[in-house]
Amino acid sequence: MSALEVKHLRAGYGQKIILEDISFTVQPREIRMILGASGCGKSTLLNNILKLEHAISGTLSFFGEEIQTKEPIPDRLRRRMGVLFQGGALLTNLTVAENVALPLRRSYPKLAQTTLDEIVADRLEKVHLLNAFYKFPAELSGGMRKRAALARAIAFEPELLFCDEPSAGLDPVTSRSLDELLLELRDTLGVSVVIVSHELESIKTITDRFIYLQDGNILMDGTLDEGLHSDIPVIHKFFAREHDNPVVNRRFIHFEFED
Amino acid sequence: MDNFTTVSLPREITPRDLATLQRRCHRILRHGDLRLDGSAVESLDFFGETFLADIATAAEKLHRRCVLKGFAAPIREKLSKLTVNIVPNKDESNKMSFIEKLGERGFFILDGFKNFAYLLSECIYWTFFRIFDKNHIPFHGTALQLFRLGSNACGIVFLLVFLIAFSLAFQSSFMLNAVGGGSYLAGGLGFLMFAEIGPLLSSIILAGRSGSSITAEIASMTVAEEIKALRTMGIPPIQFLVLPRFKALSVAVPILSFCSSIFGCLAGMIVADLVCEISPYNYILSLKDGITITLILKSMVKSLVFGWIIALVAAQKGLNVRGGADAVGKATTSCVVTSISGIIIADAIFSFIFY
Repeated sequence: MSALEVKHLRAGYGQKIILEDISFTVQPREIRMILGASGCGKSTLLNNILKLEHAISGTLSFFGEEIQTKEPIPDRLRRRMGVLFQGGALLTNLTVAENVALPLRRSYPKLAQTTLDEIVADRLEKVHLLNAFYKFPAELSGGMRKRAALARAIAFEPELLFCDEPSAGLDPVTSRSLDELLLELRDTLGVSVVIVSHELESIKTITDRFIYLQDGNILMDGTLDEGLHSDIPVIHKFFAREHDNPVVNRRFIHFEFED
Repeated sequence: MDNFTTVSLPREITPRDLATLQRRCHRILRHGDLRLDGSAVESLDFFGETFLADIATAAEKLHRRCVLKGFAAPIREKLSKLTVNIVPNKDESNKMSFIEKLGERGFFILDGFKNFAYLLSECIYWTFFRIFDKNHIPFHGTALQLFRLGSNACGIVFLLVFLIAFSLAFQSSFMLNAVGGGSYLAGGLGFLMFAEIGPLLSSIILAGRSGSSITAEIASMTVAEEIKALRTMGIPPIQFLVLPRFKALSVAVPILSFCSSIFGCLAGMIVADLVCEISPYNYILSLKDGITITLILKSMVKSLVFGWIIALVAAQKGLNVRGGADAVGKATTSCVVTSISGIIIADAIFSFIFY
């Protein structure tokens, strides 16, 4: 049974169609990357999978349970998922511990504070951020904020984790440590991870499989190895870090000289 | 005859000279041909090249001649190969006509009403019909919001209402004294304070102070994807963010309105004592003529509705914000304007219903 199955997803904003026909699956313990050029619809796809936006048509299955386009994700399924947003999206008026406890409090309002603290401490320890228990998000660095957000995303020990540009805005060392953390979480929690990214180093380090989006469709669905040896020009250029030369649009100026 | 006007260029064309030179050359080209004397020019950087390209283009457009004279050989060679970027034309395919803009605005306002009605129904449902629901989100509570939005606003609300009531009483006391009606000051002012000034002024002050803070806070959260994060955690933003503020203002506005009306009456008492020579004891006794339990209840109902308008408009503006920091500012301004307008419209309707 796959952790996530997307079937013929079509989505857009108003009249504008961003995603034409998207279908792919995510297997348990798999790290699946969603790749593509800026503006190709990666974040739209993620928002539609998370039901933050409503798709025009298509179905989603989480852990074998099918959900129609207009239906929300039931709480029992939400508890099996976690989301790490690009900027962390921690609530700034709550401490790191309160942020991590937030989803737990919502689902288990009667949980004793001591138990809650123990769970929070465990999650923070998993992301190596126990020392930030009482700190506010504003007191943390970019990388620490991402890790705190990751701790909140794994509050329920999810089976499926979504990450939107986890390495964005981080230096290479911090980015690398976050990648290692995701691999560690996959190994310890057995979580499947869906990552939207275009950080090549990250992609090469942690991807099992990827989909490459172009013009609202999947251009390629394959393993990292297949991507690295692909003959498709766009995919080849992406992995080889090549880019098209921009069209030079210049005008010649004619001067009249005297003498 | 030669129709050329000669402009001598400086040794180096700096950004500072550029604007003056450009203006001068454009003016000359409007009336005739231009000769640029570059015998003093020693070097030509990006600004110099841009200047010459701009003048040559302008001359071409105006069908004038622009002749370069006396430039050193290396500069001439450089200029003979000069190319400039073509600035892309603005895409106006999506430009809307006036009617389309009007229609869009209409839909936007309609959407606003729809969202307001949805928020109101949700808040009333969770406040009155699910009051004992165990799934009620207990944190980030109403008490904290009551303190932030209500208690912290006491000082400014009471002070402003007191001062306005003082000046109102002071000015009207002269007129009343002139017609021998000084004794009516207490009753009249008391009625005015509870029926109109108290609820209206305190609500307007709260709309500016607390409403804007609600919008700014929620809008910042929306921009920072915090609202999205709440939704992915299964936490409904309305219950988590709007409901505590709605409840807090439902309690705070009537209380503040009542207290500020009393402060207004106290201001009247000082004026009555000083100008109309009515003792505080007699003033309080006369207040009974203007203030009744029904009036106080009506005042409370009005204030409650005003509180709802502030909370819901502020929340709606915050939740629907799109964009960045600029959008947060616009939403905050829009919240203050909309809620004050809403309060005044609601007040007019209440006046029609109640009095």
